[in-house]
Amino acid sequence: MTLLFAFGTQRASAADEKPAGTQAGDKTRIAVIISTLNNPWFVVLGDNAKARAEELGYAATVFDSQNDTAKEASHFENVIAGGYKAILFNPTDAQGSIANVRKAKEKGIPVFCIDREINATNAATAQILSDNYSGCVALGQYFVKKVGDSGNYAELLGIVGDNNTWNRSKGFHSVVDRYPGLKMVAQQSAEFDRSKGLEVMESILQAHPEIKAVFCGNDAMAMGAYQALVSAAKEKQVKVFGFDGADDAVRLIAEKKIEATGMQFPKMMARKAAEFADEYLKGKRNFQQKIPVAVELVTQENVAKYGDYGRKR
Amino acid sequence: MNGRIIRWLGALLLLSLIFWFFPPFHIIRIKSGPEERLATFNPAAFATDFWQSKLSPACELAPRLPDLLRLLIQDAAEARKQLGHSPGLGSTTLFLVQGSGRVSAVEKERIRIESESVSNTHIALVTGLIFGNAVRDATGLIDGSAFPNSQEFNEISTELNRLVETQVLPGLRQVAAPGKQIKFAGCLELEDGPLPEVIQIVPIKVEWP
Repeated sequence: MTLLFAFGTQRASAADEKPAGTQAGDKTRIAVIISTLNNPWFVVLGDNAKARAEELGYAATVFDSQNDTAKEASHFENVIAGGYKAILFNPTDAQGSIANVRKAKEKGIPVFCIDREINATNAATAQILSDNYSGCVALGQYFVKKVGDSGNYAELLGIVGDNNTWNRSKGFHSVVDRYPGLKMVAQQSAEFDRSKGLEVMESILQAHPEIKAVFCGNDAMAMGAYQALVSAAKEKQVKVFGFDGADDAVRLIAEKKIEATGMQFPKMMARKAAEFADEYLKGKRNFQQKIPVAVELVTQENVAKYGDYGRKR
Repeated sequence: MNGRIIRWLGALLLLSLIFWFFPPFHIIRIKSGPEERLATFNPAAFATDFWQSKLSPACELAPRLPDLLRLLIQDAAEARKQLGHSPGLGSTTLFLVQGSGRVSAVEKERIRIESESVSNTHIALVTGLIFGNAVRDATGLIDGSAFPNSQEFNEISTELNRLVETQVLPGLRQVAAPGKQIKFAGCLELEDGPLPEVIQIVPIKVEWP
């Protein structure tokens, strides 16, 4: 009786969690698994990957991992079971996501990482990655130019399990730490989240009201930090630097409210990943494992050239 | 009582034997995470070895700067393809070059060189703080795909730049003076589009003929 009950429950669960995409008809299916759709930048990434895959003749479905490696694993299981032929993947965790990629590889499903890497060179078919380090070297040089070579500043870090957090921070510090007059008085993670950026900035301002600048590991945190500064009437005292090239940040740079950001090219990376999947499915096998994508510095001086998550045409 | 204890011990022994041959779970050692691997990778040693065994010899075979500039003016795409390296997707190409000339000015963070003139382009050797990936990527001899964690790859840039600052620049700054003849090899980055007015080169080797 117990066994029958368990079996029945299992069947019900399986029916409720029927893998997505089983209704796609004749088109080959490609999955787009994104770390979080709570951030507009990643929405652009996912939407463009999906759109390009569809332009190339595939049926594409976007899955939201909600920054949760367990949810990401569940998506992989569903995608593998659901007959998808390729995965365009934005990992939640550089180390924790490796196992998911290997599972797909074992089943013959190529995985193309977009924007974020995994710490393995023999799992994903290719990894298309923003050159965050170099982007933040350029940002760090501009930071020194605008802030000067002395003064106190704060840093808001992203998700600690994401290599991008450390590539950006290290790129920035490789420049700024060469100026002993510039002192980092606070460094705290706000997890790439705008609301957390606001909270963390409020706390930092209470402890260090004298700071001259804040470097934020992404634009969402920069926007949150800017909000906190406005609330504290310190937006003219503290210069804000972000990273990503999000539309709202670019707009604030154009309005001379924040100083700079690093333009990643999510549309280009997403489209390239879809094209790689298409090439793979048509027989190509030799892909460069890691493909860095240059990041461009967006400042108040050159902001007119940028918008809509890229360079204006 | 003794019999009961013996039966319990016997059952325990039997259970132990069963679990020994058919364990209910396995303990698998977690492989090195990025923090541990980063702790074992020695970017300074890697950079030193690369500098001595690959970069320095490559300087001898580097194209002459005037030849590169002429080709860039004539056919930029071909010049970038033949003589440059672009590690990924972007508008920057890196080059390793050699050249010679005469020091025309010593500035705070660069030394201007009067060289064989090509289309009014000026040359300068950078003598300030060194940033960026020109030294790492100009030869195309270090493959980023070989590094599971890109932090390691980025550390190499930092260390190579440090070698320029400690091994090349002190001597260059000490000796450079207007009028002195100089031979050099170095790395430069060029964006797509027209040549800049001043081409800035990170020096790797300097000689005073």
